[in-house]
Amino acid sequence: MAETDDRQLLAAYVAGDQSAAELLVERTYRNVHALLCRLSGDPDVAADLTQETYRRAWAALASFDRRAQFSTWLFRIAYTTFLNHLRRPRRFVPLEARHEAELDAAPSAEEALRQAMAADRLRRAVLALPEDLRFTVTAVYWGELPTSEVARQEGITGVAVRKRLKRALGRLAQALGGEGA
Amino acid sequence: MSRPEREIARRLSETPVYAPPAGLLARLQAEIPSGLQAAEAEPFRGPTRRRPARWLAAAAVAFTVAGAGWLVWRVQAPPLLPETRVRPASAPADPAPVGGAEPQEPEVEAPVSAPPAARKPTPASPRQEPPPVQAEPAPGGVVGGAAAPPPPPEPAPQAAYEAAPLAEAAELPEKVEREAKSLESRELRRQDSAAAAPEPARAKAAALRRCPLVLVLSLPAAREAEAWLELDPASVARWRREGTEGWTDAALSAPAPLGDLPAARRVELRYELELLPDAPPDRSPGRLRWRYSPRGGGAAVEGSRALSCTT
Repeated sequence: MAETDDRQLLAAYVAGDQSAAELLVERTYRNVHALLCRLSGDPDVAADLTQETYRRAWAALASFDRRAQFSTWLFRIAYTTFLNHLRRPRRFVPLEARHEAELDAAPSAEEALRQAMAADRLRRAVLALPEDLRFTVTAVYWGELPTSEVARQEGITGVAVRKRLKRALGRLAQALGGEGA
Repeated sequence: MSRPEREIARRLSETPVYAPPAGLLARLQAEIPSGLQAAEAEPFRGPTRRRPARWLAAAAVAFTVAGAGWLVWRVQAPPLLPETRVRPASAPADPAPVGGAEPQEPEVEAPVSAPPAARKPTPASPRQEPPPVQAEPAPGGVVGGAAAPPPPPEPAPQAAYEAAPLAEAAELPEKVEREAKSLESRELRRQDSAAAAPEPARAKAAALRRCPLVLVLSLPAAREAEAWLELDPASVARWRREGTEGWTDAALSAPAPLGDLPAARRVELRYELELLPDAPPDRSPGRLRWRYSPRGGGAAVEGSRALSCTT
């Protein structure tokens, strides 16, 4: 149903209805932002990348052939935008500094810090995966895309997607050691 | 999926709240291009067909043709190497030719110090079929067992053994020591031949179990004494005589008569058997039989004893 709505909104926007595109953004931007938060680990960076994602999406809308769902297509753009962001030279903010600030701010800061560091280790481990595994993991778990959509995007079967997930989970468990248990 | 993997999947599936910053939606909506940029796009395309990889099909056909050709060539061509045949384990079942059988295998090894008489072909006794293993001490002191020599450390794969009957050992009392010395050199040569033997022969020989056998007969004063071995063909693959001691009758012949024996004559026989791999370990490889007439007169006495390996 939602997919049908997305297609209708897209068609309406193509027909000249600007409000249809605004509604489309309102419906999808939280997921895109959450995905980029998980990928980057930084809400501010994620906000910037979200803006960039939509810019690129509007610019590339002509190449969207509607074989995939709009959300899937948007996820792919966000993912690529994040990878490009990683490759760009940028000023590094030590993660520990941010955590120290959180530690001072909240009463349960120690627990929050522990969870934040664990999440960051998991994020780094995911980013360290090979490209095919990394894309599959982020698409399924963080992009919340259905397996069939990921399979269509990658040009593989659903069984192959599940195999990739299993391999990726094995590598993550190995990389994180006993942390996963 | 293991437990750590499940835990990782659970953590990945967690959906923490990432609230978009205020004003982000407005910024995104403000950046939507107005108008028909998208409308100018090229028409939507249908799903493209996946063409089957032609090179893959061609490679499959080529492989099939090449494989079939190779198979036909392999079936029709003669074997690359001559097949090495291993002598079937039938030595014990056949009547043993007296004086040493001619070996049928390439690595034939004649006994080093066998007496000349032992080399003469002599008709084999029907009773003297396959030679057996060790005789335990007979009750009443008729047959006694002796300590066994240590078994050869490694199997001799293709060494052909001389099928010597019990009767050929007329001159052995003087030569037992020489034979014992020659055993060592013979063993070395067997090992060499085993190393040079083809793989199947070595494998088969390695599967055989060695069974050294020491038989000690201690008979009272007797006339026309005879002794012989009966080997079980189901257990024994090959056998050979390693030496004898105490034979006084120089005219020992194939049936292995011991002749007239003085009192307390002690005769020692040393054999080595190779048992079949599937021979049950608790099954005796054969029996040692003897027969004699007491010198003082009376009915002939017959006895037998199951053989067992010395080790």
